[in-house]
Amino acid sequence: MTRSNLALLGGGLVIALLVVVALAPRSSGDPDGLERVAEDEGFAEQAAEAPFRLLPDYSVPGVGDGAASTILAGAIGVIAVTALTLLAARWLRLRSRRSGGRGETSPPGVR
Amino acid sequence: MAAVDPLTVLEAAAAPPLHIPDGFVSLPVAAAGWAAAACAVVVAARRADRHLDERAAPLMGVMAAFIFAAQMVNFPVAGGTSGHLLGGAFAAILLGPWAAIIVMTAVVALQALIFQDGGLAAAGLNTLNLAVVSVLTGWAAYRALHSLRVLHPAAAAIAAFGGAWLSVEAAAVATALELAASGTSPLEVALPAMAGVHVPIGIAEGLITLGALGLVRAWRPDLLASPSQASR
Repeated sequence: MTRSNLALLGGGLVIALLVVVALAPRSSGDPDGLERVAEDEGFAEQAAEAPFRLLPDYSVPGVGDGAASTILAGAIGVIAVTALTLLAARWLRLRSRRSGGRGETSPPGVR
Repeated sequence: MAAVDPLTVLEAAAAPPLHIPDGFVSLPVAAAGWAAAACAVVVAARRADRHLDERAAPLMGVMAAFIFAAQMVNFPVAGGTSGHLLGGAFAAILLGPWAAIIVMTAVVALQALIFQDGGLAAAGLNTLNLAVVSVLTGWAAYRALHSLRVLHPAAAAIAAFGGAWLSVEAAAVATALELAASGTSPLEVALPAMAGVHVPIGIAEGLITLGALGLVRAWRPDLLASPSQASR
């Protein structure tokens, strides 16, 4: 990865982590758009429990419900989603190079 | 009774605007959502890979990180309701629609798997609404309005704002259609309610998108002149 790309990745991660540290713990607890409609129209209680819970509601079980828990969960999420997206992008590029090569050769059966 | 502990308010934080939990949608609708989302992501992957240059991978990673972090921040809007950035239009403007769909899909998938934000059965619908409908609508509106900048330079900013606003409304309308198709809430109730409550949330989306694009222009103007701007 070039230096410019590393700077982009590092700078972007710092910005995302700043959002997690400075803003995420102040997130509003008011119901969001869909929750508001669900409460108003009386289907809010239909929401089903998740079959498993890892970092539910952006908190780390065992660290409590405070800002530290939110920040830790957010930081884990930022790292994980960056890794997932980098892997997806790398896979897409590898795949396009491979399929590009296949397109150049003559199809089977053509003599 | 004790006074309300501010921590209990924090505890309820990071609620999911527009992330459908399981139970709100019927099984057939959820299954249709999975099928539609899978098709859309395959198409996006095929189209995105033709346009990925050296810079695309780190930019996609950074966008996913920022959008994930921003989605944790619920801001209060009118009437005791909150909203958060969706980011679909912002991603589409910087990456083009196909790479943006991949980025948004990664965010929505992680939210469902690790943070229990949005249901697992409903994850197809959430991907469809938040990663596909919002990105494509925001992108189409942005491109249409952006072409008017030859008439007036303000059209570029209006295009970003309008695309972002419309991307939220489109996701809200799609959610209302899915709730109605599931028999959860009749369309004549769900549609105006979802569209109405997301009007101010969409305005905030537009303002944050403009601000974020301004920061990108100040920090890395080269990203806005990327090849993703052309050839789509």
